[in-house]
Amino acid sequence: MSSHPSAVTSGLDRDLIVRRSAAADEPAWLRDQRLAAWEDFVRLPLPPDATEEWRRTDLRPLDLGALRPLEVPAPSPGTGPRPQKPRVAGGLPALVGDPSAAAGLRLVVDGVSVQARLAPDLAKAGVVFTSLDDAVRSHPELVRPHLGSVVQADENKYRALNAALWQGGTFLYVPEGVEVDLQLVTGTWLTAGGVAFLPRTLVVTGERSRVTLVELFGSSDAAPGGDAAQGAVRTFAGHAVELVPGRGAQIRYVNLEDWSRSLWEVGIVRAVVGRDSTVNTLMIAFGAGLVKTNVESRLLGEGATSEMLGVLFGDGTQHFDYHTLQEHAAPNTTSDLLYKGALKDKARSVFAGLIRADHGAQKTNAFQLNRNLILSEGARADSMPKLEIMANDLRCTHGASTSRLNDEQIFYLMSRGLPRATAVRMMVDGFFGEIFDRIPVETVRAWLSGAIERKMAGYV
Amino acid sequence: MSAPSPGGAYVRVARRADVPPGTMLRAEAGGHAIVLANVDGELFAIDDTCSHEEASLSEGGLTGEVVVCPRHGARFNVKTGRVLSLPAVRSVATYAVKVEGEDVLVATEPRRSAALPHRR
Amino acid sequence: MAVTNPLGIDLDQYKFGFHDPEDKYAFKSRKGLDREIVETISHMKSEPDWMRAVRLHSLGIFEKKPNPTWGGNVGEIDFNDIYYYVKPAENQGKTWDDVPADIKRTFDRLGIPEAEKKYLAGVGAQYESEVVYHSLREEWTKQGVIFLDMDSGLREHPDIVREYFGTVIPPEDNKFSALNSAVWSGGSFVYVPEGVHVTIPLQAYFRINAQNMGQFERTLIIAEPGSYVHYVEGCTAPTYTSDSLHSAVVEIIVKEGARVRYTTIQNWSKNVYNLVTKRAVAYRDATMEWVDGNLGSKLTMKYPSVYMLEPGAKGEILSIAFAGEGQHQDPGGKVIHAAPHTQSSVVSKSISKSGGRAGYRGLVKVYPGAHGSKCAVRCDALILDDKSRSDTYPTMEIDETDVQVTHEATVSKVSDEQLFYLMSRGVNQDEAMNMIVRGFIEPISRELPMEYSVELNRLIALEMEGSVG
Repeated sequence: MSSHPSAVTSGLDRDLIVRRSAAADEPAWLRDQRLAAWEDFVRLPLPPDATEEWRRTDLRPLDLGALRPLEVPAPSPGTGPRPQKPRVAGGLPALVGDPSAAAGLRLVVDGVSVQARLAPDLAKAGVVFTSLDDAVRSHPELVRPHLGSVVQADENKYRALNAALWQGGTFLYVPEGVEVDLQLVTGTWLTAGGVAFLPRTLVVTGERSRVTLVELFGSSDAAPGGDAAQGAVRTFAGHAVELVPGRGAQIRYVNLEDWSRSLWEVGIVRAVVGRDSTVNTLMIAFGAGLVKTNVESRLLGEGATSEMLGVLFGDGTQHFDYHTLQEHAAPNTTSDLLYKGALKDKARSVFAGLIRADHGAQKTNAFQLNRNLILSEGARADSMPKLEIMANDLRCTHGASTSRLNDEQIFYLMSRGLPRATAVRMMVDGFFGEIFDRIPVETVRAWLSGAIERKMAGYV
Repeated sequence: MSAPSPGGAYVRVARRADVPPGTMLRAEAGGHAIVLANVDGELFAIDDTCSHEEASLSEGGLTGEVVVCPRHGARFNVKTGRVLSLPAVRSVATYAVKVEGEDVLVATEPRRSAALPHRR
Repeated sequence: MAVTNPLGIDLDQYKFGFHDPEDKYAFKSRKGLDREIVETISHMKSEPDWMRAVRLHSLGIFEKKPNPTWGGNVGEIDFNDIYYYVKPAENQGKTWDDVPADIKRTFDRLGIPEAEKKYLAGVGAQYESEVVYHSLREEWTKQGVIFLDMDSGLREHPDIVREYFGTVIPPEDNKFSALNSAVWSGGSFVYVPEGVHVTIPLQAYFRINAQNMGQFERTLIIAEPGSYVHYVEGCTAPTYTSDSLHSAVVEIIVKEGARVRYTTIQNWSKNVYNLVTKRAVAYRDATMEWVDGNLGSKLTMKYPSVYMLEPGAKGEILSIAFAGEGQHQDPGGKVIHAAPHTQSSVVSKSISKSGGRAGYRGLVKVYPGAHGSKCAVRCDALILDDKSRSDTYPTMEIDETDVQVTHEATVSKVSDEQLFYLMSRGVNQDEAMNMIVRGFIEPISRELPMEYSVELNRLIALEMEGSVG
């Protein structure tokens, strides 16, 4: 994709927006929003790779111009899933785990909803859990004020692309005072390759409500196994997640990706945390060839808190780049970030975490910890914990460390009769244990445990 | 393509005329990105990747036997691969070069040097 | 083709330009930077051809490189509004009356002797230490220690300078090292022979000439195996200058088993952009220590670095930064572990008040093969009021599994409990704040030569006035 303003991608263009919007009978305000975002997309250049934010992740091989749109049959207004369902793709059930452990479940394959259910008592209480496409038509009064308010189209070219061409997506609304104990789950699977997949998630909750949303992503496109060959057209996932809790509300958001290697993801998860509300995010990255995601909590109201957890495990030539932001813009706010990554073979991770305390953010408590475990020569973790502090009455600490497995501990375990592979596995489990203890969703823990096992297979 | 000679295989990477005196040419030998440099008529080959931040040395300047990396000015001797200035701290590998007629052949196996910038 | 090694610069490309070498008096000093100015500088100093070629090559690099997009705001520097050589006569006629009142007051409060005051204010070119300097010179000559200004160093020891100049900080390294490489003047040349320990710290102000407060100083220090030297530059008293840009380059080579300590206390006046590149290379079992105090200037960007290239090398960086109103201190340091069993430690203490912005920006880089290496970074920031700002930007690039690298940072204000405790012991609030801040920077100030640490404490006390309430 050249950065020339008038260069147009093959298949992704303004006409596509107009056509789709009409076919889906979208309201004019949304179509206009998309078109304005398209202008931004055309106008904005690719982010300059000399800047600190982009220089460690080389996105040049991603040719946005070679991507095709994901052709999804437009949903007919008013109905749910289409009568003939595509088969639920192979990897999706494994990703979702026990389907009964969810108060609501939406499964989407290649952009088509193949299953959608919500516990009747939640529906009766006014909880809305649908695709964002549907919500635009069924609940515009809930969607319109918030869509695009947290992540703006003109922030960079990738956000503009999502704002212009997002499809499907997830919308979750929880009314005032409603507390949902069991998680709501979306499972998304892609079999199409070489496409631009652009889901968008919007969560809006009322005062003093509580909900957990778990979003799972995987793919099995037709590219050759293992890491994508040079020159193969990649699949691109550009995701935007906006989280808007009401006053005193709590949102827990889990984003788990196990994409196939030929997929590259550029995404953003951002929460606007108002007075006395809480947003806890958990990012899990095990798949994809490359992930570049921003995870941000903007604590704008007094008493706002946010816990931000991240777990990643890279192998082969995977590349994970996480830029996080803990922004304290009001007094008496708390944030606590813990990102842990394990890397083997020639995988690489980049962690850049900024804690920012604005003027007036007195009595802020902000903590940040990034720990990396290197399992092979050739793997590498870059860590940049940053502080920009403009308030002076606060507690703020950060730390980062990169280490390898402790030989003495392995030897100790082996001397107790454990084979080396088991000893190593125990230590890696121990490394991730701290995060496991902070994940209250059992299905996610179960998946994580199995996924670590799979990544460690064959490692000595 | 020449048959492998004792000490390793060679691949043909260019013609003599492609690399006039005082110039450089980027090429590939055995999966390694290399740069050919012509110093007063004689050809040498070293890693093309600067040992500092992985810029391409072929895009830099060649003066005599010294190549200057375009990004931060690290210098290397193209005959020995020796690093001559910071910010690079590792010498680059050299590759044996054979010229047969008009063909320039480069060994596919690197020879690595541990030499440092300043003499003791 | 004539080539200057090791920098590989083609002399033929940089032959004399359009300026008649005999006609030097026709040259008029003017602002701005171009080839003619650079050639004139080189000609006036009677430099060898290769140095002129390096300058001209560097000019080309400076013109091509863009301003950095990170760090402080250098966008306001007007490169065309600077004299790069020979200031016009009217500046040299400065009198004591021209020195701003607040600078004079600070001198008084610090108890600086009359003659030194005038010298620091730039109104006198001489300082009475000349006598002291000459007797020390004799001692050094006996030991084979060379300590000259850089111009003389180039003139008297061209082969040594040529071997090392630009090999630690090449002109292409960044825009300001390119500028310095083109127009450098003054600075120090220090050579310590094998096994020699220089017991008295070498102080920059011993080099008596008008270039002491030069804008574009170039310093080169070579410590042969087993030697030791401590070099001190700067002064805590405010250095008044109308020059708005100070862009120095310091290159240090510490060979096997040698040790070099380089102490800087800068207190440039608050109109100055202080953009400095300082870097040292440490070989086997060698030690490099940077002690860096940044009190003045409008913007300081300076990241003393140690590149540890052989086993047993050690690097230490101690950094203090104080930013008051209108100031932005962006110091830090880089430690590069490129060999096994190397060790480094970085301690940064920064204080900001009255809207000032102080921080730490650093890099820890560990190359593959640097096993058994250790690095500990500790950054502490004290923000004295809610108008001020502290930034911490550490980067860790670790490419080796068998290493210990840790980083810790804290940001805080002066603790109410500590203040209350001291005041309840009869200490007034101002003095209590002073004691706490002195304690905060003590791990670094105790490493300074005593007269500096005394002056530093007094200066901090001055800056702290009015910081309470």
